[in-house]
Amino acid sequence: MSIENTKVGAEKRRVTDKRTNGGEIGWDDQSLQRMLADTERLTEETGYYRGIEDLALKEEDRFEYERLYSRLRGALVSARETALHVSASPIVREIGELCFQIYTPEGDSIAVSTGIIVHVHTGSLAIKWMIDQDYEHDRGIEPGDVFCNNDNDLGNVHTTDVHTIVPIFHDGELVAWADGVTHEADIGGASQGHTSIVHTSRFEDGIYATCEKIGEDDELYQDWKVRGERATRTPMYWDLDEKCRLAGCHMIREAVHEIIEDVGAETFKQFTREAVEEGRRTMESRVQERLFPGTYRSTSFAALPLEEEGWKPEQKQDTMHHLPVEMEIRADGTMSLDMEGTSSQGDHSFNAAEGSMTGGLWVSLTQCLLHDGKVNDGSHYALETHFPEGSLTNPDDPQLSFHAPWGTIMPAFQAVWENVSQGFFARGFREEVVTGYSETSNSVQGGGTLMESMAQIIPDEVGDYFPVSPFDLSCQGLGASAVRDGLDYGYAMWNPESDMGDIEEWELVQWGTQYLSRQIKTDSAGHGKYRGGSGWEGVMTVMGTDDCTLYKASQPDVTFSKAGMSGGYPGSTKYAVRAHDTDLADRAREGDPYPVGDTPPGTFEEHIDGDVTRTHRGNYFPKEYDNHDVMHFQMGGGPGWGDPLERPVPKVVGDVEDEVYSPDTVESVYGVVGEFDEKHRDFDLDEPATEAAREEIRERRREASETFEEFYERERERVADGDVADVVAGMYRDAFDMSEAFETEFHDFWDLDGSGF
Amino acid sequence: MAERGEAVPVWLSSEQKPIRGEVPRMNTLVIEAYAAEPSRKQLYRVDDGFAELGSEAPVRVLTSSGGTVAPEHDWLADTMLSGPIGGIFGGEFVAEELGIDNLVCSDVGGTSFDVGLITEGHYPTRWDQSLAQFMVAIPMTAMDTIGSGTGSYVRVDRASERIEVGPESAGYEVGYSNRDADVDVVTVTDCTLALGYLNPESFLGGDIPVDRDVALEGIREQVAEPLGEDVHETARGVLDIVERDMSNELRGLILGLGYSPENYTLLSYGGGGPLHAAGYSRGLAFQDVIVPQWAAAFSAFGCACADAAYRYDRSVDEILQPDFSNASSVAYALNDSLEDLRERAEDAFDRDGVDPDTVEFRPSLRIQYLGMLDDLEVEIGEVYDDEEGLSAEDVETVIDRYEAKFDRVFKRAAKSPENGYQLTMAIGVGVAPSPKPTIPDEELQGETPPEAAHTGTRDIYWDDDWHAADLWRMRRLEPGNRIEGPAVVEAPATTILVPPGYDAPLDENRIYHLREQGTGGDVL
Amino acid sequence: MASETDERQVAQLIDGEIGWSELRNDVLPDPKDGERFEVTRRLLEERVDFENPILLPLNDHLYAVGSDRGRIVKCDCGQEFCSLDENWKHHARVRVREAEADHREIYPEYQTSTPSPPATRSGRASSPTSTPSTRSGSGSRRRTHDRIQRYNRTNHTRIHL
Repeated sequence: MSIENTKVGAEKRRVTDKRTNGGEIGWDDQSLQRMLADTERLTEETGYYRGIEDLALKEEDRFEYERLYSRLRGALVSARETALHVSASPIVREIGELCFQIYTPEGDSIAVSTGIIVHVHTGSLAIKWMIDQDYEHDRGIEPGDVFCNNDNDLGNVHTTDVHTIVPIFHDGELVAWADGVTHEADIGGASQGHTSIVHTSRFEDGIYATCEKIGEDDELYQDWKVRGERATRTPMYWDLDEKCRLAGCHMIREAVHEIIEDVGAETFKQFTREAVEEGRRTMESRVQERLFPGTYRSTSFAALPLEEEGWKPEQKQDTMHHLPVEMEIRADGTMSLDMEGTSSQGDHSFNAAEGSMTGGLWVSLTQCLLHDGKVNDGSHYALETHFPEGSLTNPDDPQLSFHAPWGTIMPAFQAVWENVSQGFFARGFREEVVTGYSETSNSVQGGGTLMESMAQIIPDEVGDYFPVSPFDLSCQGLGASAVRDGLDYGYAMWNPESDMGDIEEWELVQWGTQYLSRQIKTDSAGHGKYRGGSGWEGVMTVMGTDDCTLYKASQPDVTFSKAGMSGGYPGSTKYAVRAHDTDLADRAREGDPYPVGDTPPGTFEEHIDGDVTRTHRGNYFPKEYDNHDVMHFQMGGGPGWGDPLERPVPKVVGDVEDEVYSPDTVESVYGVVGEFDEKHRDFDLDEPATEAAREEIRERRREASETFEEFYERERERVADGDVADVVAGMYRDAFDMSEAFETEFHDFWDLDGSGF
Repeated sequence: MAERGEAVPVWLSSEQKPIRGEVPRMNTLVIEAYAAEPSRKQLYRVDDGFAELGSEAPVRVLTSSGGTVAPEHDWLADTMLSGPIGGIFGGEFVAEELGIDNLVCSDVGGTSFDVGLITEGHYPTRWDQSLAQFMVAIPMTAMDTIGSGTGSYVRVDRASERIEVGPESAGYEVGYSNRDADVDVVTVTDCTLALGYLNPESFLGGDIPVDRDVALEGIREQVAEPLGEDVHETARGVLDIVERDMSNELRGLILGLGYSPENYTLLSYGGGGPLHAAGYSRGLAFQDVIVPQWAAAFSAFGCACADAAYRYDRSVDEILQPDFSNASSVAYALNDSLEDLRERAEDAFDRDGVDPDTVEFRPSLRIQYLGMLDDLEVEIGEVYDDEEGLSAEDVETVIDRYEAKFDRVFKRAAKSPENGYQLTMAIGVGVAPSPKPTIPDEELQGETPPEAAHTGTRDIYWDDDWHAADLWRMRRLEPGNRIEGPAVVEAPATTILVPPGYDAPLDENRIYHLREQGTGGDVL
Repeated sequence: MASETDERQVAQLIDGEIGWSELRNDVLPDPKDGERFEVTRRLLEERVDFENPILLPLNDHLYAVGSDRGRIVKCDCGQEFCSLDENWKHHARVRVREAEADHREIYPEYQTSTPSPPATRSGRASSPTSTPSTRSGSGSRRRTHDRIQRYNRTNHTRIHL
């Protein structure tokens, strides 16, 4: 028994006594419900968090205040750094997909660690829900308790992120909450892995802990452990990740107790409150400092082509989602985000709870405005959001699947980033522009079991099932800024860990799969004066398995999510190639070549014989793979900025030599002509031909373009006749159904009473 | 290549560094291929230079995992971080000499604060290290670094009105107050100057001219005024933040490994260590805070303390059943690898012309619970038999050691023996002892320092007030002398700050013990 | 207080000539330059041929400028598009790439939008898409959800300082 544990025992007795005598666990003998109500009321009335107009502690001793902040944050980062070594999942350990936060008793975050900071606000929602449901009197909240939540509607982003929440008491009062989140390798959903696309309802999403108490006296309940063991395909990972989270939360609790011992409870309490108000002010002053006030609009699109692959009848359709974003940036530093006109929710995995959408906002804002690690819920109070009820961004049916909201969040936020970038650019901070990103949704997933002979050595406890959940998706192309090219295969907006991970570490966990290659994906970077970051591709095969299923989402695949900026182009779309019943074994024996990529597309088949299937869309639904079957996968490129014809020719030459673009592409897009010696990576530029080609491109632009009036008339007729792809027509019908305002605006623009959709 | 008549050097990681992890393995191989030969040539030139002066001593280079190697060593990549690591070895030496079990080594330099831990005489070796942002497979003594040093820039963020320190720094150019340099932004050193801790006349023995008034003006304009604070309070506040960051770092490292500052002695060195030691040790109840007289050159001293040693590693990835039912076959496989590593180490010493009888073989294993991804290094020299290797029972003993270590490093909530174990890596280190420096051991003189050592007084700012501090010339102080704060002990390459309420007795080993008075402890 | 150094840096940002190290270590991190907007504006004015005062840049070539007919959108080639109240794209030429052949000028096959409907390589015939499912949920499910949603409500009220 550790010192902490006996302390917890004593604390618990103290609280129990208090409660028995009618006392409350909030401050000054108030209930948490009362504290929460007061906070909301004061904040709304005064415009300051909890009415705190003067940051007295900060003003009185600014350096002491700083020390407290850095000490608290240091504890969070330290907890994360240590805890991640306990996890079994390379997603957590290798990539760093975890996060620790600390909240006020009412559930406002004071500070967060590094990692998946999307969770600044999600734990807040869960805590507030528990307060609203009167957990303090009903279920009980006591020292040593352990709570768990991953229900997206109650306070989470997607099902596979699991929160362990621990209350921190001092002297009979709840002074803070610690929350640790990790991204699980398998969540027990309808298909193997962490981000399944096959779902049609909540009842396929996997294990849900719905703000449950899962332990007390610092120990997990036996029945909860049993549930965990039986609920996912990877009980060992589940168990170790849980230990990781709990260990981290306990470290934070210890740190808070030490801080209180040093500075006293009153100072600590006051500090936590001022920190949140400070967060609000910092957000506002950052906005004022760095963005240009105004109204910004952009729209993203997301396709879900499931007609061919869907397992259930209601899945078997192709849809396209409309994701319009209007943002107002105000002179007082507040911001609003409005997604009026968004497509309706549906029977698929991509429904995003409102909390998930705001989570996305945090990931974004902490990378461009609040990146010095001092983000907390104060920022949340400087923002307004409108996510239409019943839409993909605020579903009103809790029985839908909320499993993989990234399918909505990622494309939607392309438009958010474009808006914010426009604001930066206008304000002069053109280095902060981010034209967009390659969506980190193309993750290879699946699982299998090893052959008997291979599995013998593995202890029974561990079992012979292996998950396939590499997280090399956290390494994609980032869009160009307005001053430089994007980052090649080195960034993933939604996973700022930006790391593809060591292949041998992935293979250590994914026993039955072997990587055959990783290489640059030529022609994936979005074109422009500044090109987007390039993507990369890989090839994987299966070996030593009894069975194995694999799948991979790919977004964007059949359509682009959005364009580039200022004349730049989007990164290329993604697709799927796989080969079954192959001659890979023969090739290995003979020393013959095997596929190491698919560049240009179509060459994969040149080095493998077998049953090859190639689709424009991803492989969303799991397929069976036998030993020596081969899968190709890719991570995409980011969008570009500016006119490709303004890209300096030497840079284009460099692009060819680095295999970012093929000679054909640079000729037709950039008008750069020459001879490429692949062996020596030497592009011999033909200057006169280049000049001529560029002039030709300009000429073609003149010829192939039309006046706006001509364009408008033509398109207007199409709208009137409904002469668009069925999927597009369906998208608009649905959008009109969802939003009268959008319908009116749309028809006003086209000067029509109705459309032919 | 031979067929073609081409002489092309080839590096094969499967031969030279067969360990799991393709990214660090490849990076390290590239470093070796690229930098080894030119480095080797440079080392030979050093050797020649010394030889010309009549030296017969061999040239050896400190590796980042402990031990020195000859320039002929076939894997010079291991010498990448000699400098900072030297301090930790110096600490280990001092710890052993003085019988200190647990020592925190802290080095305050111009750009960074480096910390390493020695626990029960051992320092942990970390695998996942990065060098200039490249992941490498170089076994390194676990050392933490934060970008907060004496030359770090101090700025005010307009939006949040917060003070930001570093990570950029003026480096060797010291700060705004350096009249010979072109530094625009005030630094941490400028703050220490402003508060009277540093002697502007003798910075680096007078080689760098620093102007205290310039420092004050810079701080006022850039930091104090934007915050609406008094300039001296601001300078002290900056140091508070810096020292708090350092102390957080210390706390984080110690607690992260499962220990507590109360278990440790803090050793402070580097150019800036003795100046900030009182500040960053405040509030952390270390058993003792020690500052050696040779603090400024401590890393170099540390290099001289190391033995000659060659370390070889190999990934083995043996799975041991939770019930130890396959311990025999695991032992067999391990012995194979360990024997192979031992031979490589012996060959290296053979090449160096070292008497094999003086060479000791110290094997270790890296182990983790199956399913976890972070292994811990466990020394197995005590159970490993030079003739027989490990037996099945020995394997169990080794596991016991692993679990004890795990307990110390991670919280009790995390153990998972039911999953079995993975013995990931076999490590073989051959060690041949080298002559060591000797730590001074002198007769104690009286508590009162000699008159000649006292060079005057200067006001210093501490705890919101000015105090008249005695100035002492370090070279003239004698073992037994007790420096009573407020005081500043000055030497060309370093300054020791003894704040009000502290004292610093100098012991027979010429090591100062910085003590907050009233905290007890009879040192001498 | 825009110093010479600041101007040089901003000019390099505008001209795309800033080095990676300076960008990464000096320009991108905090603190940000308080004069950036004004300095940028002024440097841009120096670069364009027209006399109109620049209010703010819209992209590489388009600016919001002042003129005697009020605030307009103007290109650095001299073309005046329209009032700032209008959408300048209504006054621009438009080029649309719709056919796959047009897409293929920019992207390789499979790396661009798919002609509708998305098909496997064997080229299946298209099938009509069914009506996309819209809102579902009985009243009671909706009510439960409202209760849950109450605490998920993000702040709709303006915060006034």
